[in-house]
Amino acid sequence: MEVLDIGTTLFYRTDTLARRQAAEAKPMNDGSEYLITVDLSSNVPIYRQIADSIIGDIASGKLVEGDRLLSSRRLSSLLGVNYHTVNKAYELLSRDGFIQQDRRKKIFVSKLPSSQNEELDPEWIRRQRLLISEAISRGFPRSRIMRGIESILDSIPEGREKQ
Amino acid sequence: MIPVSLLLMMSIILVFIAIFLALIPYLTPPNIQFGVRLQGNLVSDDRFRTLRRRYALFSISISVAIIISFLLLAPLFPFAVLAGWPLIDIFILFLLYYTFHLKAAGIKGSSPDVEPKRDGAVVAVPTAPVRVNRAWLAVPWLELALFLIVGALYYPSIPARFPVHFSASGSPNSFATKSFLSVFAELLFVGIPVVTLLEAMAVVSLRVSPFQNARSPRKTTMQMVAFNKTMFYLLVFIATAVLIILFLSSAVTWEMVPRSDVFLPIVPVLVILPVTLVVSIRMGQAGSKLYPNVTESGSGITERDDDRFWKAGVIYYNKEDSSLLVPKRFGVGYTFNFAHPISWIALAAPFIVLVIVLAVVTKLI
Repeated sequence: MEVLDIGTTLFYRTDTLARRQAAEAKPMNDGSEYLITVDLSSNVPIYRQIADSIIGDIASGKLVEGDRLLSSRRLSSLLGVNYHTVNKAYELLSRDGFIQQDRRKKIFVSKLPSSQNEELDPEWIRRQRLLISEAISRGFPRSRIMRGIESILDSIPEGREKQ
Repeated sequence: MIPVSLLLMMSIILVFIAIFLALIPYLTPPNIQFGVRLQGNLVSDDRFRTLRRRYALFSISISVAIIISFLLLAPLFPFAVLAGWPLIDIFILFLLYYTFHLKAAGIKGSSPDVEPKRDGAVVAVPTAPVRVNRAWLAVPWLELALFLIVGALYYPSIPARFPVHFSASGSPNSFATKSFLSVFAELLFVGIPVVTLLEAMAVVSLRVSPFQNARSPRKTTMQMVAFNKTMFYLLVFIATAVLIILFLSSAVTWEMVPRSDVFLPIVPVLVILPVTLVVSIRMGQAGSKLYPNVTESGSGITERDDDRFWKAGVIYYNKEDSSLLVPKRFGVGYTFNFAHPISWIALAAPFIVLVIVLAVVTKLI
């Protein structure tokens, strides 16, 4: 017991240091952050990349229903891309029902349905079919495609899927 | 003859400015050096370490020379030295900065990219807006009201003709006839615009975007949020201090404090400077000294080179960017995007107010 006490006194300094480091690692803002990635060397248009980033953040649970998104103006200055590009990405997301605008033009993540019992969106099936057909025509075996899909599902951290 | 107290206070101010200027390259983020954006491995290049050290040495030597010459010459040519030295100081130190800016740009230009770059942007967007206690914005206004009340209570004791301007030696050389406007001219016509401007800046600063950094987007955002919050409170603090300066200088003209304390109004500057210096050193520009233990895995994307939007590394002009304020590249704080029309209005505003004040005051006198 005594030995332990001496230990605590001896390591008090390191302990406060560790606590300070833990406090420093905690963000000063109240929420968390979501990431948006734009790769200019990619063939995918920038507005599509922005929309895809946001969909990815919703999937991983970094963005949840009711979270407010930045205005197109502020997001464009943050990313260093044109204001219209961000607007186009938001239009895309809003068309697909991921985000919505309230009367004061503030943009929020929509209430997303939990689609367990519903039919899959035909557009989604069309796109999925296209990607799978592409893989088959390149000669990938069925098992490889299945593994590919599963590893993608596993790589998306606990988010909406687990809710 | 210049009083020793004034010389002492002026030298303390010059010393603080000297320390601050010499430290700037150490306070800006590692990927922004002397107004130049460094990408990839250039960030940890030893040549920039040497550049920083040499700049600090040159800067300190120049400042020491300026302070010594100030102390020697001020008693001989008080007006020329008091008015001219700060300008000469700024001019020489800008030339020094510019020399190093060109050197940094030269090193960057002569270093080819090691790996093929994928230009782009990775940013972390906070989900909650930055929260500060906006009630503090009321403090300078309450303070102003208090000073006006004190002035009103003291009004009967103010002489019918009172001094409004003092020479460098501290003796009055211009007088005004007592009236409500002339007595409160400084608090009203300087105080209100200055507080409005500082508070507008404090509120707008909360939304300033950080420097792009695709290597550590999360850390960059956390740093900027903390920096903007601190700047909000610092700007409100400066507004309260400026009001104290204006009150003290009014109190001198009202002969509320003895004529021997004519340099009393400079005292709050001696509080603003160390506070600003300590806050700047602890946070770094855009919060670059904060959260040193946060590490992130890179995405392989490099932020784009935006040097072409920064003239001489200090003046930002970017039509594509809709933001009004951006973090300074050399210094601690914010600068205008001069492609934004409001930046010109904000710059002109103090001059317009000054012209109006002068017009009103000269009519009163």
